[in-house]
Amino acid sequence: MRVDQLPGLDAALAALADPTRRALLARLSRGEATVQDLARPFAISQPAISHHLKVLEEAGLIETRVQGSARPRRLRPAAIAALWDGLGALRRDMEARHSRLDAVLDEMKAEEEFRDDH
Amino acid sequence: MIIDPVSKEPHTLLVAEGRSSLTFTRRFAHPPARVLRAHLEPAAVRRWIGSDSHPMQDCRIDGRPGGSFRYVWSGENGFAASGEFEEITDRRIVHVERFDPDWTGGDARVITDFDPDGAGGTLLRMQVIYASAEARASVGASGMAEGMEGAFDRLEALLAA
Repeated sequence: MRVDQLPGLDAALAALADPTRRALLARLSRGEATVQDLARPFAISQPAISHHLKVLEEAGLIETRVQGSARPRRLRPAAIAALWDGLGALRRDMEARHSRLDAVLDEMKAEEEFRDDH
Repeated sequence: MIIDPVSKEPHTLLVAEGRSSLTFTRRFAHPPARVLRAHLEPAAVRRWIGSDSHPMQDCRIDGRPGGSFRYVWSGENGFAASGEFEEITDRRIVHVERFDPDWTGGDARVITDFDPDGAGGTLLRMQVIYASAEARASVGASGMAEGMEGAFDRLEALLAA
């Protein structure tokens, strides 16, 4: 089976590639919210936010709850859990950071030894 | 749940502990005092927390309990982090941090321990406690977006197995 044949994955990756949509997910991680609530911190129109929410919903990352005339959006915990794999990327970022720290520590050591000798 | 690397020593290990925290561990061939100092001196910090793709253009650290810090990364998608130190001892730094734009679901509390490894080196243990389980999950989702290419690699390996 090829990666591009996996249902849903492409949509989820494409949805997450956009910074506004990641910010919307981050906001929803603090609890459900209406389109009006979600649009407030952004300098873009409500229809544009609605479009981003539609992309996230089609990717299966969020869902709409019907509450009278209100339509709050919320995260789909199962879908988010499936994205745990993203932690592998965090680990690699931290590993790269720690490799740079190794080099910085070596230089700090050399400087300390130089100071001690002079 | 342990995200274990497959290759090269020394490596950074990531463990998802409890409901809302992530813990990174790494061994360094330098004593705790030096490793801790590299976390508080701007000249050192900007070189390892900044990178070629995201250079740190501003790094201010008041490395005392109650002191604050601010990091600014330049580049196409510039971002910043700021926070306050709650505790600084010879073996531990506790601080609160937040990013702008926010991608960690609000303030995260970070406990970094610098323990002797018994061979002259340091075992670094950094626990990041997010505001909620959902915040931690969304950090994972962001990581996936940032590391999309790597995610594809791993998935292909998984499917080939």
